[in-house]
Amino acid sequence: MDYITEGFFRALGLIFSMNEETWSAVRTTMRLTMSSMALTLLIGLPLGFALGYHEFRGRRIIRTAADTLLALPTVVVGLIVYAFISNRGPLGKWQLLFSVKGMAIGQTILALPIVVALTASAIENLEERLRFTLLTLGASGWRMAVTCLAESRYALLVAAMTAYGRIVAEVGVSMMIGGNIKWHTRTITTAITLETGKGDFALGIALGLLLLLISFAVNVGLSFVKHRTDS
Amino acid sequence: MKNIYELRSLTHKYGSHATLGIKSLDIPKGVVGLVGPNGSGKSTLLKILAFLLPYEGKMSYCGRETADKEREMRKSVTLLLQEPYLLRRSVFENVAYGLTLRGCSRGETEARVSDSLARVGLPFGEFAHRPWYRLSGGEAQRVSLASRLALRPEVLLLDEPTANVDELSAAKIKDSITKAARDWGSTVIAATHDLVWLYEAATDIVSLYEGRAAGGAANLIPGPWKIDETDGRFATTGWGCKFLANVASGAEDMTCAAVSPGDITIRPADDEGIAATGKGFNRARGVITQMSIEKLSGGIVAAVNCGGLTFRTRLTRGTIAEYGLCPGVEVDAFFPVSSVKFI
Repeated sequence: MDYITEGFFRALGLIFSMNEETWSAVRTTMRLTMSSMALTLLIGLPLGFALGYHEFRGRRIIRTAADTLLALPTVVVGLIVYAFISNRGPLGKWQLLFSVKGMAIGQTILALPIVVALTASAIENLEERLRFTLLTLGASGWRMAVTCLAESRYALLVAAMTAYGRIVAEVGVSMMIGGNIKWHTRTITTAITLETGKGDFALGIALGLLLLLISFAVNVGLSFVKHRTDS
Repeated sequence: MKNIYELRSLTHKYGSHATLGIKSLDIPKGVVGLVGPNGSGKSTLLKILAFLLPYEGKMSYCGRETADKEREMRKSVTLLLQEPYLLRRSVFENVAYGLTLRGCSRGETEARVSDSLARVGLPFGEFAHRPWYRLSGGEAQRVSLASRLALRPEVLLLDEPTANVDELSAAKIKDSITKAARDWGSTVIAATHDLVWLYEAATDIVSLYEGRAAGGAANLIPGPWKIDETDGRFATTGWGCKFLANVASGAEDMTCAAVSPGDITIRPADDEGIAATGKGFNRARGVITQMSIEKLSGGIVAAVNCGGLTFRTRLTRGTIAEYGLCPGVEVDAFFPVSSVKFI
């Protein structure tokens, strides 16, 4: 048990001593998750709206596929993205392997089904009265989409929080695409895996605490946004 | 152009269930009431007139065919739903929403929002920045109406605008609707059960029953209508008495028939009198339930309940005085068999 207690106190020490290696992993994690989230929301919200709002052939199949992909294993995503961006892959010339950009692509693929499925669900649950009201007031096209998304903003915040949880906690994509390169692509989760493998539980616990703190801060921020839009 | 809408062979279905089947209906400009029991198709018709629902058949708006022009025509027509939906925003943003979509300047938007709120009796200073969840049901309905009035629509469609609101809100809503028609020449088409207000304000009334519609404040006689073996004419017996219609006046569908109020005569109940009417007349005994002044004719409209079926007829002041007609009086209603038309 001692090593756990020791790990906890050492974690506090690492956090407050501004250990450069630790903070490098924190910065990379922040940069990576923010990029992935931005990309996920940019692609996922319009796709989710289209899936939830429009009736078209094959909609139910796509909806089922999106729901199924909620359980997409991170290593599978890592494997597929690796195959595409490695030097032998079709996107190899872009040199995305072992880069934060490549990791962001992988994490976006991982989080996209969550945002698409939950956004589609939120839009499907909007009352038909809203659609009639917007149409009769003159809305159409993207104005209709933006207003519908704004009307379901609480559900979308939950979708964003869930997607962030998936992104910030994943190891498979970051490890396979990023390669866990110190000062470069090492994130908190890959660092935890490495340090635990090396037997340095204290550092692992320290990094774990930092990860929880980041998640907590992001969720508090989103809750604040929800509260602000409520009042 | 007298008619704002002209509908021909118009049908609408929810799945396999037909909710509207209108052979021919002209809706004139002015204030038009839609009357009919719940489920008769009033809301569906309003949504079609607002270009919100698909339909089969032909419809023209201001003399132009509406097919494939719904999006453009929707800009001059707006509908207030029976249960209004307010956006999760402030009152100002709700009323300004349609104006923003139309690219109105900030100054014009503020002026129109202020004017529209005043029209429905909500002071701008007190309500403009109130969030949607701090409004009562009546206030929410008035904000919804204000958001439509702000658009200065050519046609204002209203689905039972006073059904779920308090008396004060109902009065403000009715007043603002009347003023909209007067100030901007907007055509108002309102589905309502408030017949007193309707006869005061309406310039025409469309009656609906099970998706069938007839203008001119027609009285509807729902079927089933079947060939009467003894008489050779169409007959229905579902209302405590037998009503007849000529085969010649029939169409391929005998779901519902209509009689114009001008064809109905009422006299105090008299067994000898009712027996003396010839075979060419339908007759029914009932009680006067309501009398109201009709704006269009300046005359008085009496509603007579005959075995659950309500007939409306126009009366002169002389007739009322001569026969002592007033609500509660038992009367006989007569109308020629030839005046019964299937719709």
